[in-house]
Amino acid sequence: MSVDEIDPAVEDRLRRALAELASMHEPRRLAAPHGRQRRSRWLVAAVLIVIALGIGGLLLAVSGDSDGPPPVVTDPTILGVPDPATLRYQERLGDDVVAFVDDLSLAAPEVSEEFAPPVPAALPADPSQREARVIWIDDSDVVVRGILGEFGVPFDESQSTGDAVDIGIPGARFTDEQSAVIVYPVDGATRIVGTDDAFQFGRPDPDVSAEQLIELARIIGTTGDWDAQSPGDGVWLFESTVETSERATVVEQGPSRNTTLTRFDEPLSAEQFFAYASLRAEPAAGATVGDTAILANAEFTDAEVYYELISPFDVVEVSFVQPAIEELIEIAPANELDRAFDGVPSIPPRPSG
Amino acid sequence: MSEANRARQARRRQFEVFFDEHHVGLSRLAYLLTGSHGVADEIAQDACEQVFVRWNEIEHADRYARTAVINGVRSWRRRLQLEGRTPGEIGPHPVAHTDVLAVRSVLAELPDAEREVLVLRFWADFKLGEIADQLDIPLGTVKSHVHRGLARVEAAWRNAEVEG
Repeated sequence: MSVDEIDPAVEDRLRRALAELASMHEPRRLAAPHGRQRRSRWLVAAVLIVIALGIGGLLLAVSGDSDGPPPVVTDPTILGVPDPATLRYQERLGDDVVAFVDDLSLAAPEVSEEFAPPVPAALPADPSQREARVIWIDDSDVVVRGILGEFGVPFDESQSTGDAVDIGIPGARFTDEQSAVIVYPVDGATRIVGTDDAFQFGRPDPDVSAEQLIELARIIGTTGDWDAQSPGDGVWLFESTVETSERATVVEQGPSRNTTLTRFDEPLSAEQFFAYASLRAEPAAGATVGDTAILANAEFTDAEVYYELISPFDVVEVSFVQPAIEELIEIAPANELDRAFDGVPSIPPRPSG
Repeated sequence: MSEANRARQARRRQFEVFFDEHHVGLSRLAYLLTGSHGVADEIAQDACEQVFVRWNEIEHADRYARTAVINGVRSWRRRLQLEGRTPGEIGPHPVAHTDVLAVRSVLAELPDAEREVLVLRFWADFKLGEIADQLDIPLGTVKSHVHRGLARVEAAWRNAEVEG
C-alpha cells in the first residue's frame, strides 16, 4: 500500500480519534498577570521594590554619570500582555509572585529580608519610570523581566559582546524594545544577566529554548558575591549559540576571563576530553590522559586555559585574560565529576587580579 | 502618546488576537505530541512568547508558532533523554473510546518525525506538501511516515479489537 492508496475509512477513523484525543486537553489559559498580582500584592510589592531598587542602583552606579541616569525608555504596554514567558512557570509554583513596579520611588522599607535577593546598596537618584517584573520561580531563584531603559554607551566592539548586555558592565546598553532577562539565585552565589535574545537562539527554529540556555548557563554559574561587585568589577555576560540541534555553547565573558561551555551530542570519555583539550591548547606538565580537568598553556602566563569535563556531555573552558593565580585554580579529580550534577559551579574562582 | 507607544499598543492588540485564535490549537498540538497536559501548556505558552518577542519580525506567526511548538516538544524529549528519563506512563482514560486509547499509545511510541507527520496530517489537516514545508523534510519522507504511522495505528486497533 502506498500513501496514495490509503483506505479513506482508516483516515477518517484516525481523524476522529485524534480529534477526540485533542479535545481531552483543555488548555489552561494561564491567568493574566493582573490576577496574580492581586494574590500577594503586598509581599510582591515589597520584594519587587527591593529588587528593582537594586537594579536601578546598579544601573546608576554603572552609569557613573553625575547628572543622573540617562533617559529611560519604558514600555507601559507590556503590563497587560498575556506574556507566556511570565506565566509558564505558574504550574511549578503554587504561590508564585508576579508583579510590576512602575515607579521605583515606591520603595517600601518593610521588605521581607527572608525573600529579598542580594542587591547593591546604591540607590538611583532618579528612580522613576523604570519597570520591572519579578517572578519567583522557586525558593532559590527569581527572574526579573522588564524594560530597563536605555543608558550608557555601546560596548567596546573589541569585547565582541554582541547583543547580550550586562547591567554591571560600564557602557552596557539597553535599547528600547529590549527586555532583559535576569536570573538571580537568591543565595547570591551566581547570577545570569542578558537580554531575551541572549537566551533565545536558533531562530527561526529555536532548538534550544531560553530555559535550556539558562540551564546551561547555570552549569557554568559564576562564583562571586553581589555585594562585592562594583562597577567595572566584571560581572558576567553570556552569549549563546546553537551549533547544531544537539550542541549548544554558552560563552561567558568578563574582564578577567572568558568561559565557554560546550555541550556535545554524545558523552565524552575522560580520554576523549583530554584529546579535545589537547587539540585546543598545550596541556600543562602533569596533565595526563584520563584527567577530567586540565590546565593548559601554563608556560604562557597571560594565556592560561582551564578545561574541565563537568558532565558526560559538557566541557567547560576558562581562558584567563589576566594571569591566573595558580592557587585559585582547582583541578578536580575524576571522582568529583558528580559535582556538576549537584548544580555546584565547578569553575575556579575568578582571579582577583 | 508617542509614536513608539502607539506602535507597541498596536502590537500588543495584534498579539492578543493571535493568542486568542491560536493558543488552544497550539496547546492541543503540543498535547498530541507529548501526551502531557502540563508540558503541552508550557510548550504552547513558550511558543506564544517567542511569537510575541518577534512579532515585528515574523511573516507567518501561526507557522512560526507551530514550529516553535514542534521544536519545544523535540527539546523536551531530548532533555528527557539526556536526563535518562522517559515520558510519564500513559494511564487509562475513563471515558475515552478504544480507538482513542490505541492512538494515544501509538503516538507515545512513534519516532518524533512520524508522530509529527501523523498529527499534522490527520489532526491539523495539513496537505502532504504543507507538512514537508512545515517540518522541512522531503515530500517522500512525509509519505513514508504517513504510511508507516497509519500501519502502526491500524495494527494497534486490530490488537485492541482482539483483546477487547
